Amino acid sequence: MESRRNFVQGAALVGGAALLAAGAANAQTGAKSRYVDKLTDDAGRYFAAPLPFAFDALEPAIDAKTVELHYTLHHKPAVVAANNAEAALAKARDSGDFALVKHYEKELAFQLSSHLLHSIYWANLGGKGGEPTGDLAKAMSTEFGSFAKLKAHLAAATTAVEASGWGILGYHPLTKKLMVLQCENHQKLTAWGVVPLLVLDVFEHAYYLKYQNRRGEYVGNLFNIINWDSVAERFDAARA
Amino acid sequence: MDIRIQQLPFEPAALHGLSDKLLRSHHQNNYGGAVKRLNAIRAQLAALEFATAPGFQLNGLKREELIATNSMLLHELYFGSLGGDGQSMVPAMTLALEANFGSVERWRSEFVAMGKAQGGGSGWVLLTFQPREGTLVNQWAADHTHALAGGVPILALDMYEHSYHMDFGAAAGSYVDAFMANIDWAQVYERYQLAVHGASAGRPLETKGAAS
Repeated sequence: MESRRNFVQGAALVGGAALLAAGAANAQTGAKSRYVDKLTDDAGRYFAAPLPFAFDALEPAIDAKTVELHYTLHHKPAVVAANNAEAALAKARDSGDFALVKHYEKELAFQLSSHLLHSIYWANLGGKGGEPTGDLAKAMSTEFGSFAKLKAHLAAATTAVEASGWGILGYHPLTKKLMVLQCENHQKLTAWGVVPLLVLDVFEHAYYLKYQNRRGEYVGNLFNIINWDSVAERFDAARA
Repeated sequence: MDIRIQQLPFEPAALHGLSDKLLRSHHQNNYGGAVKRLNAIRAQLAALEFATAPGFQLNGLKREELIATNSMLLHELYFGSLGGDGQSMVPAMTLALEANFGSVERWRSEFVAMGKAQGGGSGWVLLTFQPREGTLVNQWAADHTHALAGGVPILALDMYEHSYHMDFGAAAGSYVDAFMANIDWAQVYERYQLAVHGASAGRPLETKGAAS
């Protein structure tokens, strides 16, 4: 299946965190989401795809300045740093000098996870909010009782992330469960094998200009701009 | 009794390159928020039956207590570090930095580089007195929970994005430069002296050895 192959190509297995990027172009559904997670270029180097919308497209939930800074000066540099970490590790293998292997392994896990989560974050946003439908809605009811309960759980977990991190709704193919996770930084507190479907960034750079310390208000407003088609696409790919 | 929020020790509009709005938000929301959280956590701990409370509840409260306490202490040190011109220091402070780092410039370049290296995340850079050897060290701290055992921080640079994003966006380096230009070295030196005097009471193992 074509979509499955794309999905696997986009998968990233990172030391300290197993994160699988779903949501590659879904040929069967006619690519409802305009955005495709493309984490690497044709040469296999990490690459930040263009934003799927204009900087001001998420107003008023997220202001244009924040989107511009976030994409240009946080997501893009993470891509550069992930490539640098891989290059440094290749150099270490060639020279046999592994003095900095710990540093660059941490760096790779952090920066590549940043690239992956930011890529999904942009794809997850720019929608009309509301509620999911179809299989995703059914799975939420089965796993969490109802969409409302999932939403309350995810919002609370996201708001309570310690310092810099993410709230994550994931699907775990090995157990066939939807689950809510808190991620600290970009790479910690995962459950191995989980596929992120919906990721909510609560690094302070994601909201501070508009909301200052009112993280809960920002998280609440994110639910008004979620693109549930993007979340459902990832769910379908993760179950394929 | 509840801990009270300390006032800013300077007029925020008077600082160089750090806006009144940023400093007030930082003080009220982040520092003030930590103090309020700490009071709430202590109230919960005071009411807890330790022998029967579930481990996760006690662990969680003690973890949050540590985070909120360090956030309060480090923020008070941060605001207490500001309000000066960043340059003027008594000769004894200059000597202390030279003795521990080679030169003031060498100290500064490490401290500044450590701050800039934390851009885009959450943590602290601390100038800390380490009593075992009687030295000053620049100390890395992620989030609020890393401390040098027995160390006394005397200068604190907050690298949480809440410290600068409103003024500088992602330009963490410009924020670090602005912070450096506002250091109140008289306050730093006073804390250094207190730390040295406090450590003169003796080191734990030597004290124990002398008594036996």
